[in-house]
Amino acid sequence: MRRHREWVRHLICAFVRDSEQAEDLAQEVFCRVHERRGDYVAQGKFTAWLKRVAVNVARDYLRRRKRAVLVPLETVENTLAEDSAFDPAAAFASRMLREEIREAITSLPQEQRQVLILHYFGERSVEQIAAATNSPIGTVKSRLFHSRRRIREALAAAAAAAQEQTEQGAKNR
Amino acid sequence: MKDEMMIRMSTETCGVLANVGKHYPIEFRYLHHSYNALLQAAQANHPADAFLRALPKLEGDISDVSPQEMHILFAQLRIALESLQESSPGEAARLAAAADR
Repeated sequence: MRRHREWVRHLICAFVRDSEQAEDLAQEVFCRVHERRGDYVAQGKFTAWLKRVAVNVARDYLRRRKRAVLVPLETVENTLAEDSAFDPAAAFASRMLREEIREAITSLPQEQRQVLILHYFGERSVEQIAAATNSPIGTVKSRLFHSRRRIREALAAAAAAAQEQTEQGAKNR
Repeated sequence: MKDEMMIRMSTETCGVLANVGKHYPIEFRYLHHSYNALLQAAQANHPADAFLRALPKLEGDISDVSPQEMHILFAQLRIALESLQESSPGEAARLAAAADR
Protein backbone atom coordinates (compact mmCIF):
# COMPACT_ATOMS: atom_id res chain seq x y z
CA MET A 1 0.00 0.00 0.00
CA ARG A 2 2.83 2.40 0.87
CA ARG A 3 4.39 1.75 -2.56
CA HIS A 4 1.25 2.74 -4.44
CA ARG A 5 -0.26 5.37 -2.21
CA GLU A 6 1.43 8.40 -3.74
CA TRP A 7 0.61 7.76 -7.39
CA VAL A 8 -2.95 6.70 -6.53
CA ARG A 9 -3.45 9.95 -4.65
CA HIS A 10 -1.91 11.89 -7.56
CA LEU A 11 -4.19 10.14 -10.09
CA ILE A 12 -7.32 10.86 -8.08
CA CYS A 13 -6.26 14.48 -7.56
CA ALA A 14 -6.07 14.89 -11.35
CA PHE A 15 -9.80 14.09 -11.48
CA VAL A 16 -11.18 15.78 -8.40
CA ARG A 17 -8.79 18.78 -8.29
CA ASP A 18 -8.75 18.77 -4.48
CA SER A 19 -5.68 17.38 -2.71
CA GLU A 20 -7.39 16.87 0.66
CA GLN A 21 -10.30 15.06 -0.91
CA ALA A 22 -7.86 13.02 -2.98
CA GLU A 23 -6.19 11.85 0.23
CA ASP A 24 -9.53 10.62 1.60
CA LEU A 25 -10.45 8.98 -1.68
CA ALA A 26 -7.07 7.24 -1.90
CA GLN A 27 -7.88 5.68 1.48
CA GLU A 28 -11.22 4.56 0.03
CA VAL A 29 -9.37 2.97 -2.91
CA PHE A 30 -7.28 0.79 -0.63
CA CYS A 31 -10.35 -0.16 1.41
CA ARG A 32 -12.05 -1.29 -1.81
CA VAL A 33 -8.94 -3.17 -2.89
CA HIS A 34 -8.90 -5.00 0.45
CA GLU A 35 -12.63 -5.83 0.25
CA ARG A 36 -12.41 -6.98 -3.38
CA ARG A 37 -9.03 -8.65 -3.30
CA GLY A 38 -10.76 -11.86 -4.34
CA ASP A 39 -11.77 -10.17 -7.61
CA TYR A 40 -8.20 -9.65 -8.74
CA VAL A 41 -7.09 -12.40 -11.12
CA ALA A 42 -3.30 -12.66 -11.14
CA GLN A 43 -2.98 -12.55 -14.94
CA GLY A 44 -2.71 -8.88 -15.64
CA LYS A 45 -0.70 -6.18 -13.91
CA PHE A 46 -1.77 -5.35 -10.38
CA THR A 47 -1.10 -1.65 -11.00
CA ALA A 48 -3.49 -1.66 -13.98
CA TRP A 49 -6.24 -3.13 -11.78
CA LEU A 50 -5.44 -0.69 -9.00
CA LYS A 51 -5.61 2.19 -11.47
CA ARG A 52 -9.08 1.09 -12.61
CA VAL A 53 -10.30 0.98 -9.01
CA ALA A 54 -8.84 4.45 -8.38
CA VAL A 55 -10.49 5.91 -11.49
CA ASN A 56 -13.84 4.37 -10.49
CA VAL A 57 -13.59 5.80 -6.97
CA ALA A 58 -12.84 9.25 -8.41
CA ARG A 59 -15.74 9.02 -10.85
CA ASP A 60 -18.14 7.85 -8.14
CA TYR A 61 -17.14 10.83 -6.00
CA LEU A 62 -17.69 13.26 -8.89
CA ARG A 63 -21.06 11.69 -9.61
CA ARG A 64 -22.03 12.06 -5.95
CA ARG A 65 -20.89 15.62 -5.89
CA LYS A 66 -22.98 16.25 -9.05
CA ARG A 67 -20.47 18.66 -10.40
CA ALA A 68 -18.76 18.16 -13.75
CA VAL A 69 -14.99 18.66 -13.62
CA LEU A 70 -13.30 19.21 -16.95
CA VAL A 71 -10.16 17.11 -17.10
CA PRO A 72 -7.42 18.98 -18.97
CA LEU A 73 -5.98 17.29 -22.03
CA GLU A 74 -2.46 17.32 -20.59
CA THR A 75 -3.66 15.60 -17.41
CA VAL A 76 -5.40 12.87 -19.38
CA GLU A 77 -2.36 12.28 -21.58
CA ASN A 78 0.05 12.26 -18.64
CA THR A 79 -2.20 9.89 -16.72
CA LEU A 80 -2.53 7.43 -19.59
CA ALA A 81 1.10 7.68 -20.64
CA GLU A 82 2.41 6.49 -17.27
CA ASP A 83 2.67 2.87 -18.19
CA SER A 84 2.53 3.19 -21.96
CA ALA A 85 5.40 2.23 -24.22
CA PHE A 86 4.55 5.18 -26.40
CA ASP A 87 4.27 8.85 -25.71
CA PRO A 88 1.28 10.07 -27.75
CA ALA A 89 2.67 13.64 -27.84
CA ALA A 90 6.01 12.41 -29.21
CA ALA A 91 4.17 10.38 -31.83
CA PHE A 92 2.35 13.49 -32.94
CA ALA A 93 5.66 15.33 -33.44
CA SER A 94 7.32 12.42 -35.27
CA ARG A 95 8.84 12.73 -38.75
CA MET A 96 6.84 9.66 -39.84
CA LEU A 97 3.54 11.47 -39.41
CA ARG A 98 2.77 13.10 -42.73
CA GLU A 99 2.52 16.88 -42.50
CA GLU A 100 -0.88 16.95 -44.20
CA ILE A 101 -2.22 14.49 -41.66
CA ARG A 102 -0.65 16.35 -38.76
CA GLU A 103 -2.31 19.58 -39.94
CA ALA A 104 -5.64 17.81 -40.31
CA ILE A 105 -5.35 16.39 -36.79
CA THR A 106 -4.32 19.79 -35.39
CA SER A 107 -7.43 21.37 -36.88
CA LEU A 108 -9.75 18.91 -35.13
CA PRO A 109 -11.83 20.05 -32.14
CA GLN A 110 -9.92 19.33 -28.93
CA GLU A 111 -12.11 16.43 -27.78
CA GLN A 112 -11.80 14.67 -31.14
CA ARG A 113 -8.05 15.29 -31.37
CA GLN A 114 -7.56 13.96 -27.87
CA VAL A 115 -9.30 10.63 -28.44
CA LEU A 116 -7.75 10.13 -31.88
CA ILE A 117 -4.20 10.60 -30.61
CA LEU A 118 -4.76 8.46 -27.53
CA HIS A 119 -6.45 5.66 -29.48
CA TYR A 120 -4.24 5.42 -32.57
CA PHE A 121 -0.89 6.73 -31.34
CA GLY A 122 -1.20 5.85 -27.67
CA GLU A 123 -2.79 2.40 -28.27
CA ARG A 124 -5.44 3.08 -25.68
CA SER A 125 -8.75 1.28 -25.90
CA VAL A 126 -12.07 3.08 -26.13
CA GLU A 127 -12.85 1.92 -22.59
CA GLN A 128 -9.58 3.28 -21.18
CA ILE A 129 -10.10 6.64 -22.88
CA ALA A 130 -13.69 6.81 -21.64
CA ALA A 131 -12.53 6.22 -18.06
CA ALA A 132 -9.70 8.75 -18.25
CA THR A 133 -11.85 11.48 -19.84
CA ASN A 134 -14.91 10.80 -17.71
CA SER A 135 -16.99 10.25 -20.86
CA PRO A 136 -19.44 7.56 -21.96
CA ILE A 137 -18.00 4.91 -24.28
CA GLY A 138 -20.48 5.90 -26.98
CA THR A 139 -19.18 9.47 -26.88
CA VAL A 140 -15.59 8.29 -27.36
CA LYS A 141 -16.65 6.13 -30.32
CA SER A 142 -18.57 9.03 -31.82
CA ARG A 143 -15.57 11.34 -31.46
CA LEU A 144 -13.33 8.80 -33.16
CA PHE A 145 -15.80 8.41 -36.00
CA HIS A 146 -16.07 12.16 -36.57
CA SER A 147 -12.32 12.73 -36.24
CA ARG A 148 -11.57 10.14 -38.93
CA ARG A 149 -14.17 11.65 -41.22
CA ARG A 150 -12.81 15.19 -40.72
CA ILE A 151 -9.24 14.10 -41.47
CA ARG A 152 -10.39 12.36 -44.64
CA GLU A 153 -12.33 15.45 -45.74
CA ALA A 154 -9.38 17.74 -44.97
CA LEU A 155 -7.00 15.62 -47.03
CA ALA A 156 -9.46 15.41 -49.91
CA ALA A 157 -9.84 19.21 -49.88
CA ALA A 158 -6.06 19.71 -49.76
CA ALA A 159 -5.57 17.30 -52.67
CA ALA A 160 -8.29 19.06 -54.70
CA ALA A 161 -6.70 22.46 -54.02
CA ALA A 162 -3.29 21.15 -55.06
CA GLN A 163 -4.76 19.67 -58.24
CA GLU A 164 -6.44 22.97 -59.08
CA GLN A 165 -3.18 24.83 -58.58
CA THR A 166 -1.37 22.40 -60.87
CA GLU A 167 -3.99 22.80 -63.59
CA GLN A 168 -3.92 26.56 -63.25
CA GLY A 169 -0.16 26.52 -63.52
CA ALA A 170 -0.33 24.39 -66.66
CA LYS A 171 -2.89 26.79 -68.22
CA ASN A 172 -0.73 29.83 -67.51
CA ARG A 173 2.26 28.42 -69.37
CA MET B 1 -6.48 -8.18 -50.17
CA LYS B 2 -9.67 -6.88 -48.61
CA ASP B 3 -9.69 -3.71 -46.54
CA GLU B 4 -10.99 -5.57 -43.48
CA MET B 5 -7.99 -7.89 -43.53
CA MET B 6 -5.57 -4.98 -43.91
CA ILE B 7 -7.21 -3.15 -41.00
CA ARG B 8 -6.89 -6.23 -38.86
CA MET B 9 -3.24 -6.73 -39.79
CA SER B 10 -2.42 -3.06 -39.14
CA THR B 11 -4.24 -3.11 -35.81
CA GLU B 12 -2.47 -6.25 -34.62
CA THR B 13 0.91 -4.93 -35.76
CA CYS B 14 0.30 -1.70 -33.86
CA GLY B 15 -0.43 -3.76 -30.76
CA VAL B 16 2.79 -5.75 -31.16
CA LEU B 17 4.89 -2.63 -31.75
CA ALA B 18 3.43 -1.03 -28.63
CA ASN B 19 5.02 -3.84 -26.62
CA VAL B 20 8.43 -3.86 -28.31
CA GLY B 21 11.10 -3.22 -25.73
CA LYS B 22 8.46 -2.96 -23.01
CA HIS B 23 7.76 -6.63 -22.41
CA TYR B 24 10.05 -8.47 -24.78
CA PRO B 25 12.70 -7.56 -27.33
CA ILE B 26 11.81 -8.59 -30.89
CA GLU B 27 13.21 -7.82 -34.29
CA PHE B 28 10.73 -5.50 -35.89
CA ARG B 29 12.58 -4.03 -38.86
CA TYR B 30 11.28 -6.74 -41.20
CA LEU B 31 7.91 -5.09 -40.73
CA HIS B 32 8.80 -2.41 -43.28
CA HIS B 33 8.16 -5.01 -46.00
CA SER B 34 4.73 -5.72 -44.50
CA TYR B 35 3.94 -2.04 -44.26
CA ASN B 36 4.93 -1.32 -47.86
CA ALA B 37 2.94 -4.34 -49.07
CA LEU B 38 -0.16 -3.30 -47.14
CA LEU B 39 0.14 0.27 -48.38
CA GLN B 40 0.50 -0.90 -51.95
CA ALA B 41 -2.51 -3.20 -51.63
CA ALA B 42 -4.61 -0.45 -50.08
CA GLN B 43 -3.67 2.01 -52.82
CA ALA B 44 -4.47 -0.63 -55.44
CA ASN B 45 -7.93 -1.08 -53.88
CA HIS B 46 -8.51 2.69 -53.82
CA PRO B 47 -6.33 4.33 -56.48
CA ALA B 48 -8.10 7.71 -56.32
CA ASP B 49 -8.05 8.04 -52.53
CA ALA B 50 -6.19 11.18 -51.41
CA PHE B 51 -5.62 9.93 -47.88
CA LEU B 52 -3.90 6.73 -49.00
CA ARG B 53 -1.90 8.63 -51.62
CA ALA B 54 -0.56 10.89 -48.86
CA LEU B 55 0.91 7.98 -46.88
CA PRO B 56 4.66 7.47 -47.24
CA LYS B 57 6.35 4.35 -48.55
CA LEU B 58 9.29 3.22 -46.46
CA GLU B 59 12.38 3.18 -48.65
CA GLY B 60 16.15 3.42 -48.42
CA ASP B 61 18.03 3.01 -45.14
CA ILE B 62 15.54 2.06 -42.44
CA SER B 63 18.11 1.18 -39.77
CA ASP B 64 17.26 4.28 -37.73
CA VAL B 65 13.51 3.74 -37.78
CA SER B 66 12.32 3.23 -34.21
CA PRO B 67 9.43 0.97 -33.11
CA GLN B 68 7.39 4.09 -32.39
CA GLU B 69 7.99 5.44 -35.89
CA MET B 70 7.03 2.11 -37.42
CA HIS B 71 3.93 2.19 -35.23
CA ILE B 72 2.97 5.62 -36.59
CA LEU B 73 3.16 4.32 -40.16
CA PHE B 74 0.80 1.46 -39.42
CA ALA B 75 -1.46 3.74 -37.37
CA GLN B 76 -1.84 6.21 -40.25
CA LEU B 77 -2.72 3.36 -42.59
CA ARG B 78 -5.24 2.07 -40.10
CA ILE B 79 -6.92 5.49 -39.79
CA ALA B 80 -7.07 5.81 -43.58
CA LEU B 81 -8.65 2.39 -44.08
CA GLU B 82 -11.11 2.67 -41.18
CA SER B 83 -12.27 6.05 -42.41
CA LEU B 84 -12.72 4.61 -45.92
CA GLN B 85 -15.02 1.95 -44.54
CA GLU B 86 -17.16 4.67 -43.02
CA SER B 87 -17.23 6.86 -46.11
CA SER B 88 -20.09 5.06 -47.83
CA PRO B 89 -23.34 6.86 -46.83
CA GLY B 90 -25.12 3.75 -45.57
CA GLU B 91 -22.15 2.59 -43.52
CA ALA B 92 -21.62 6.08 -42.05
CA ALA B 93 -25.24 6.31 -40.89
CA ARG B 94 -25.11 2.83 -39.37
CA LEU B 95 -21.87 3.51 -37.49
CA ALA B 96 -23.01 6.93 -36.27
CA ALA B 97 -26.20 5.39 -34.91
CA ALA B 98 -24.24 2.62 -33.19
CA ALA B 99 -21.82 5.13 -31.63
CA ASP B 100 -24.65 7.25 -30.26
CA ARG B 101 -26.35 4.29 -28.54
